[in-house]
Amino acid sequence: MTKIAGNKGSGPPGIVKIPAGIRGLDEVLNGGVPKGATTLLSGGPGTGKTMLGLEFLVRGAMAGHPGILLTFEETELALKNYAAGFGWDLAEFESKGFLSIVSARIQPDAVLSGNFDLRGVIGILRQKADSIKAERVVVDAPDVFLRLLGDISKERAELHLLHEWLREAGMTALMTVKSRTDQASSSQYDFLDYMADCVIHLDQRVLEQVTTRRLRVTKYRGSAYGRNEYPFGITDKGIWIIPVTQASLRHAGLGECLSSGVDQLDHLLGGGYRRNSCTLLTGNSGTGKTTFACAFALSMVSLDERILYLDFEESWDALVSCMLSPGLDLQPARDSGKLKFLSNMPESQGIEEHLIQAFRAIEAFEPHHLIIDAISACRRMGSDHAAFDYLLRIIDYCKQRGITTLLTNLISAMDPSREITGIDLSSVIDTVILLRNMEKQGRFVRDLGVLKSRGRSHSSRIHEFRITNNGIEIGGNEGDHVE
Amino acid sequence: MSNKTPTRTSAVIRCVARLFVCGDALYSRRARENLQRLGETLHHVEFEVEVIDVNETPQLALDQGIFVNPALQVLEPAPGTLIYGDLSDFQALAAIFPKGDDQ
Repeated sequence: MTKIAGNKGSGPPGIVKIPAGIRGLDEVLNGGVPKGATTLLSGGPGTGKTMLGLEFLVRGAMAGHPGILLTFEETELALKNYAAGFGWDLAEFESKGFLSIVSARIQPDAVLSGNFDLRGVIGILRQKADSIKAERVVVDAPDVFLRLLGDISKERAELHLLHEWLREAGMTALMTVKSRTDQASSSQYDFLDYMADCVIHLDQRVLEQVTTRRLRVTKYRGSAYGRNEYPFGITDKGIWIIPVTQASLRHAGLGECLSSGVDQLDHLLGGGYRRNSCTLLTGNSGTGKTTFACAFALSMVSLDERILYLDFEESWDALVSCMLSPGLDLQPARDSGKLKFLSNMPESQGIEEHLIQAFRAIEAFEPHHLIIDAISACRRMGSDHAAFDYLLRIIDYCKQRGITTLLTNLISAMDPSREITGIDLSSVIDTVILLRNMEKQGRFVRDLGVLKSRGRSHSSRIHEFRITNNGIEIGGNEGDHVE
Repeated sequence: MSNKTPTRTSAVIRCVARLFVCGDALYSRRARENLQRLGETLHHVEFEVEVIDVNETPQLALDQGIFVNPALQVLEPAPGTLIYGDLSDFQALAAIFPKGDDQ
């Protein structure tokens, strides 16, 4: 599980929070949802509201806190089938007395004659709450039910009634409500935002043809909270929200030097890449970025350390055959189980899916080092900003865990004036190595320079290098070495 | 039932129903009153109504899927009907209990 950023129970006295148990949400909410109060979840269709409500109850049930799911939209069977997709057996929670599902669907063929209200539902809730000693209630899609009333002031009165009961009964409640995109009706349920103590908006949008989900907290009475929009994913194990948090300020310091796999480069860097640092290899096409990355991978495998290779540009087979020419044989490293290779098309999914996939791999494989080849391809996840979000989170995640990261970046030949990464990442990058392919006396010559290396003296000269069939050789002819 | 041709007096519709109410809430009270009035107005309907207070016995409402209150669940005549509301709209109700042709 992600570590919560050590700020549980912050906020003034009087606000008691309970952890929702949903990955990343408690971090955003600075500890959890308000206890004994109502949290509103709003969002358009398919944004994950019911899912979040359901997971809140499931996490509660797992921790021994009974809860009631009151839904006006779904059938009990549909919910159970849906939950089974995440490995949750709702019937089992029910039989153990940790969950009660009330599906209060309106019978569509009913005749309407005069006025009616929600009190019956409250009566049923009260009975259920007494029988299982419920602490949590999720009210899913009450708007479906209330629309029957056909009068916004009546809807409001009914919701107040329900809210009052939830508060008096001391329930920690989540209420989902549809937010509609058209202006005329979007304000219809605005009063709920005022009524609830905490308001969370869920959103699903398309950026450059890639669909992506976002969560934003817009209100938390009496408490601080993360005010940004956070990407989140719906995984096969539940919701995963991916904040960048205070935890970033508690990164482990840089560790000992690790050999880059190229002796002379270690020398130029004052010993090699630092453990837990982030190094960027940046250059035009064909300058040898991947070769340096693979040399490092093999160097770490030879030390018996695990390395995860995220490739956004080519397949394993393509990489292996390319690296045979400079004499780097990756296959045995992979066979030994020390090197794990994941390859993905950046545009295949939103950044939250990419992040979750990477985090999953990191949690399962527990690598000491991570290579991302190439971060420039991450722009295809939606936009420059999506790439930035992705990389910042992944580097943050690695730095919290003491994982060394090595990134490659393809500089566009058309626009050499761009900043080194093109994605504004320089603040989190410790070391930058620039690789070039220069024309010199009628032939192309490769050279490299260390642009930056935090906390280490390093060579400031440009050094020519060659990619031989026995690895990389860096010549000393153009510069002096730091001793 | 007898096979006799229905006469004016036998054209009585027997209505078996449950009225789900919530204690003494306004609409529940009105539903009781309106049902009483309905019985007085519709001479051709004989009402047998069980009143169920959801506050006291919620289980039946839950089993029957009745979440709107007040609600009149008509069991007979078959196939039955569900009416939401305090029964103040008599016109909507009259359609459910049509009078015989001879009335």
